[in-house]
Amino acid sequence: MATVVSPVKTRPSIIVLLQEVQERYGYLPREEVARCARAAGISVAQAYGVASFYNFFKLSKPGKYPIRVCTGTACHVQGGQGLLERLRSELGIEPGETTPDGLFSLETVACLGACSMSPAMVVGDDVYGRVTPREIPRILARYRRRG
Amino acid sequence: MSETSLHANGVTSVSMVTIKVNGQVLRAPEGANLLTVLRQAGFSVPSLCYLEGLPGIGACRLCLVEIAGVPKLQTACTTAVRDGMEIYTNSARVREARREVLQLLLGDHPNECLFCQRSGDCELQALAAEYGVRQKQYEEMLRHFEPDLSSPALAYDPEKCVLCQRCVRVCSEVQEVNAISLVRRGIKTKVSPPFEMPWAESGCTFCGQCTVVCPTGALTEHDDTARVWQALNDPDRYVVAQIAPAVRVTMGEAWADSRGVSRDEIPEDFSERIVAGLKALGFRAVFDTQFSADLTIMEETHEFVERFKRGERLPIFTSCCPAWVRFVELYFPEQVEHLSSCKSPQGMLGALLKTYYAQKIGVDPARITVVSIMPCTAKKFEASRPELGRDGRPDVDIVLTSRELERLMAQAGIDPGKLEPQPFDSPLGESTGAGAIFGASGGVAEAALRTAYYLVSGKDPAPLEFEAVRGWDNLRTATITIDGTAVRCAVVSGLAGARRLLESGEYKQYDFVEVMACPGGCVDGGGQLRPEVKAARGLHAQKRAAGLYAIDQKKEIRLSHRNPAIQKVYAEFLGEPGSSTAHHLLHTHYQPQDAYELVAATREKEG
Repeated sequence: MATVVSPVKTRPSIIVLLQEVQERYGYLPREEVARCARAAGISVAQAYGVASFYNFFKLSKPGKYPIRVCTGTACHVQGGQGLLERLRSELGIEPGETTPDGLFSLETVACLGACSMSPAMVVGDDVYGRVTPREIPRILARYRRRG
Repeated sequence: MSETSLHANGVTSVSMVTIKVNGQVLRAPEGANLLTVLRQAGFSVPSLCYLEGLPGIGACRLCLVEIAGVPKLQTACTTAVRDGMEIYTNSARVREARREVLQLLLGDHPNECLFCQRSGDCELQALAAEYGVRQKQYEEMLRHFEPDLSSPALAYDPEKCVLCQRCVRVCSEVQEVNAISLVRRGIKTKVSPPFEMPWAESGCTFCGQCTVVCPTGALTEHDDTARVWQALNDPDRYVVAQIAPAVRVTMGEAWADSRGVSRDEIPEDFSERIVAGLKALGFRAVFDTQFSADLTIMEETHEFVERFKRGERLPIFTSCCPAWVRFVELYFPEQVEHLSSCKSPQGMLGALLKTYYAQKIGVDPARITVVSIMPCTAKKFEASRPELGRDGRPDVDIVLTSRELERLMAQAGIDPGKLEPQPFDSPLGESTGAGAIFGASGGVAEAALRTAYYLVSGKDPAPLEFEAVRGWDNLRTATITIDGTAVRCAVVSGLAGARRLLESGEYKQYDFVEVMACPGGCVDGGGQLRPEVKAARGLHAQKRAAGLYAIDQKKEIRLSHRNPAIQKVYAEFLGEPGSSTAHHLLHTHYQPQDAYELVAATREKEG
């Protein structure tokens, strides 16, 4: 004898709440994740489990100059991985993280649509094509000077 | 082919159906969990994720079985029994699939068995042997993580984690603390507190129930055996020990075989064999935490009767259980004032050993190392609390769990089961039956009631047993009338029940509330020997508790206030219960900390 359970949700979905927060802040501040968890009636641990599962959700505040490295097919063939490695070591952060000074954040993207100039990356609003790992320190220095 | 049987309450009905397992006909309740049914019928089906009493989640894929008419192998733990099912638990296809699952798990598991704490006691290792996996098929480790060693109580090594989620489920579904979850995705998945904050700073209460159910060496107690050896090997150190009640009815599970004692009986009191073992290792003296349990009763009951008379901050919450204390501090900061100001028995004995005892033997307390043998991981955390020390030194230096005691003895090649029993040292080694039952849920309340009865009426209660507070339900309540005054008691075991009691406000209906964080109390503590993998856990704990009640029954003195050693310490040193010396040494204070504030605080630190 099954009872029909009402499909009406009394609590908002955690994903929807997290999306709203990200829209407002550009990422998910910890206090806000805790607040979303309370609103959704789940634990902070569970809310973070959801937030960290989806690539869409940013867990740290993006840097002033977000760096996006293309790992699409063309860029991969042309050595995009080398760029990423160099950026990792120069910045001391992993994709998804932000430098302690708040200047740079690092992420990988599947394609920038700039295959003709692969390997490509974007720093802030500037597109860089046919980049070699050796050029990375000079490029970063430009933004550090700008502050 | 189904018949209906009525449960005792006459409401639920279960139809029995017929299934066939490996050709053998079996009757089973329709809709029942197939894995449970198979195991109860004696068929061996492996699982690294299933937990008796919780729904199956099919995480580890090891309980795969073949079901006639179903093309793919099915995980038994997520399959409900249907009439006419034909199941094969051990066909060539099943065995091959399980071997492959094991290969996949081992492919991302470090080859560190030789050095692993769980070696010899690891479910993954045992299954690999059982399935004849003797060569690694997938060599390259893809997962790379740093272990979390931030807390003094627990250690987590994500590389050894098989992501079975037993720990997460014990924390959320049994304890309802929800301190951890699976985070991230793919090869980056691991178990973690929110925001991947260090365990030590998280909302974890250190109850350690996760370490009891972890199938591998991923989640363990923080191993302190090396520190004990270091202290014992240092000729300048005066190393003494104390042993908690629950430990003495548990160690027989490791050592009883050597004495030809059956494990099915009520466990023998192993305390004096543990004393003998510790003395053989070089401990100078061994004392009984049951003595300080009696002392706790003196102080706590005194505090309770005072507060009860004045109607002040009632109910009083017991404070013996450090995971419960941390739970209140973190999740119910406004109720912190209800906690008794008494230190736990471990804390009280530590304080006396470094003052009263040090003076008595004329040894500088700075030279004394106090080692506690506890059924508990949270006791490690408790000992590290700065309030529980003096002159910048902790009162208890090292805490070993029952599991570490077993390892310590094994490392020394000592089987305490074979040793001649030796008595505890005097005067902090004599205890009453009231102290013994501290290790079972309800025991503190019962011991306190025995003495409260005396304090209020001037008479000892008869009979001494307060049966209403004994038992295995998560919440038990009783109203005890002393000289015409009703004292309303509640006994809770398991943090889930504690949360419900506090959240609903029901706690306000009582005068005295005992809480033990672990279901069943310390006998099933987070530092206890792990029950054999497939055994129902509750039974183990019930047996251990029966052992404690048997100790109580056999003791000549069963009331804390009648303990001559207690009377002596008050006469020589403490004055009377609640005196300023007693307050200075035996009482403490607690810090309200909101778990969400904690999250915010960590963020500020980073920013």
